[in-house]
Amino acid sequence: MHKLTVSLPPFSPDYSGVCSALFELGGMLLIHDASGCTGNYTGYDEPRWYGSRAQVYCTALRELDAVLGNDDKLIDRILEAAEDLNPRFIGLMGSPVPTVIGVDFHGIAREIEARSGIPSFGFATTGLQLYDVGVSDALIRIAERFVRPCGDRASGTLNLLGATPLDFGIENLVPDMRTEFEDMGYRVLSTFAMGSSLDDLSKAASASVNVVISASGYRLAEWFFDRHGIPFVVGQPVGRAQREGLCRLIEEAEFSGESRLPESPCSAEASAFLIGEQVTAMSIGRCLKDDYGIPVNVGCPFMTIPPLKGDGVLSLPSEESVEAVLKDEGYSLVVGDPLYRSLLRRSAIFVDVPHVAVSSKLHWNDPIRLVGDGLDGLLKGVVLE
Amino acid sequence: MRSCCGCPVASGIFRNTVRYCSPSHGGWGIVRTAMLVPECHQLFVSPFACGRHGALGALVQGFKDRLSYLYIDEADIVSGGYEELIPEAVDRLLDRLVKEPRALMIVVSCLDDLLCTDHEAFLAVIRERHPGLRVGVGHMNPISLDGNVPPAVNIQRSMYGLLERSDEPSIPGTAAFYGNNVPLDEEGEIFEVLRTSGFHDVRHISGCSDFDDFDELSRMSLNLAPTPTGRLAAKDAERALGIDSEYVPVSYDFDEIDECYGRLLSRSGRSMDLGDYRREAQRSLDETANRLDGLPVVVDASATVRPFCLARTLLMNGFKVETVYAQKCIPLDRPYLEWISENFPDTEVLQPEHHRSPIAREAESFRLAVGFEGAYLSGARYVANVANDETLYGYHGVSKLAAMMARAVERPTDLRALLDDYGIVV
Repeated sequence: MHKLTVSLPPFSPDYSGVCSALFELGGMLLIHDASGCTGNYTGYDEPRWYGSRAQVYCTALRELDAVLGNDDKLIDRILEAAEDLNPRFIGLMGSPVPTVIGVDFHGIAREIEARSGIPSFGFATTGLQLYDVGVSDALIRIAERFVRPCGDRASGTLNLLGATPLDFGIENLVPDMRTEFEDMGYRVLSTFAMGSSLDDLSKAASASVNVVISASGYRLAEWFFDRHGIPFVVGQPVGRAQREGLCRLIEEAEFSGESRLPESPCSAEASAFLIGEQVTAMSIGRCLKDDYGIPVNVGCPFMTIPPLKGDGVLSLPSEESVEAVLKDEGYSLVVGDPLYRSLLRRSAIFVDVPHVAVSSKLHWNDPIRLVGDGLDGLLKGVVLE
Repeated sequence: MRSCCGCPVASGIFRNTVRYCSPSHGGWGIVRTAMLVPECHQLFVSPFACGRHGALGALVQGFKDRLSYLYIDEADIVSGGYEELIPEAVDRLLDRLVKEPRALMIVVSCLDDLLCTDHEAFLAVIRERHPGLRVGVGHMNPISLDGNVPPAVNIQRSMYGLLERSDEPSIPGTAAFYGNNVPLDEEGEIFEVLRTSGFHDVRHISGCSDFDDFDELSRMSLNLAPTPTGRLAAKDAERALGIDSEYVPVSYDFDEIDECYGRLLSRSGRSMDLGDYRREAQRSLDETANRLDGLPVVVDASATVRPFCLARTLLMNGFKVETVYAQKCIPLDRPYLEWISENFPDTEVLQPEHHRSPIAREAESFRLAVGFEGAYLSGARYVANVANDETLYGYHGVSKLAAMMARAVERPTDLRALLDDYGIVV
């Protein structure tokens, strides 16, 4: 996939996804790169960075080390820092240069763990995949290592899966979501992985149902189902109808022990187009369809949930593909990150829903509160007058 | 002199640990620097991840319309043939751009250092297809940071490498600065020194309104490099364009300032009394030292390429320099580091990228910081808004810096706002 991109910035990469998912859990995170990749993450993909004492580092990879494959130097530096900082775990991830020289991240992590006694993870991230792949991988690895088996599952308890600032920012969206589910009558045990400690996450196997709130939580939901028998549902409680629909799905999932997927909101005669992270876009879409009677289509430049892939959701792997769909005269309303607006070359109402993985700090202080009746406020004045 | 790891200077205070990248770390970055060339479009050819910080910085700074990307994937890298994609991408790019650029810089990333791409091969194809377009290659390759030609140096060479030898004769009495991204203050005495030396028309790339204006830099009589980053570019121009050059590194040491001006004046065999400027700089330092009245000061390498030189001047003039934040010491600054070590052993040297930095960071302290990174790490309440010696040079630079320090302590600084305004990019 060779892509010429003229207007949009590159989106958040896989190593940022890993760091974002692990940021709050007390580990030492290292990006194996020269400095630019770490700068991408700390400067543009991590709204929690300023003022933080989190241990995120660059390994300062240099040309000679790359050519000579000097893994011992890398390991020694990591061990020296770990001895000083005593992290709860160590996560080492790759970037484009290590991809080319074939660094064995899993092997290095095993050696670090053997020598330090600290749980260690190697992530073969490449900078050639998007953030959601990294988030997904990190959530699974942390669950595999730290979630403890649980005999009894309490009814009406949930884990929310797939929460990172790259999809939700840091301004209350995840706490809002948690509160919304609690208002719906559930107890949220943990949120993978924002606002929950490693200890919280370790007890997650006692939940009765998991809720996938972004596509990057889907593989973890499957893991919980396979390993601990916890069924899952997919969606965010955006709007009145969907809130009720999600309650119904959760009840059904808990009762039957089987996972429940929502119906696609997409239709052939759509007048609105939603572009963004799949679960968020589909949740907004269902709200528009069910609460406002607006037929919608959804496009996703990112990871898609396999069973929901063929549900009318368009895959948009390049700037050209986004541009092509926005040319469609049938769409009078477009919802997405403000940066997609630059690709709209005709008249249509554009509603901004910032996505940190796209527009980073340009809009990470302008989050849109979508859950509950939040979308009403957003649409008032642009669509509903 | 103490260091964060406790090692004395003699055994080397600078350690290579895994590196912390604070929110105050960075500078202009490669993209913004190369954007100084007017009417030049940058096409990055790299894995998409390499471009995120530059593109978002460009959006913030307002020049994203001159920056595009050709993303390469694993198959392109493994096959080693990604350079074959570039001419086609250039054709498509030029078709899509609203305003046709006069120059195009193909920028490659760290991977290119390992893959050894044949740049000349794709440049030849592009030049043949687009004869009116000036084309060059730039590198954003921090993997070479410890080498002889780090990215900040290399990009200056790429920018001025776009200049071609002119058929027209050189313009008498003209000089241009290389390597300082922001022009020096025109009130500075260096311009009087240059006028006295016969250079009445002194230019800076930021003053070039279009590509033709930039192109005229190929006809200067002299190039001046006031920073180490511009030195090699000026040397290149000597060879390629026949323009004489002078390395005139920024300094806060009065004797060194005199020596530098002496070299410039000797080009014309004239002399100049710089006593008034020197006295004014001394007066400014004295006044500010009194104003600070023993307030601890931290100096860092984000403020100046020569933090030890600045620290020595401040220490010699009654300032209480508590800490110098520097990841390393450039050779030019080494004698000043050694002087501080011998004469002010309590002054601390801390590496801002040391792995202990995030846990050692102070949330707030009663200090004045000269520079962003020291400000962030020390939690300094007051910050002098100086980055990369911008606008500062000679005695005027010393006076201006002293005035900025005095102003800074008038009220606490909102460092986060300062960083946002500056638009730091790693």
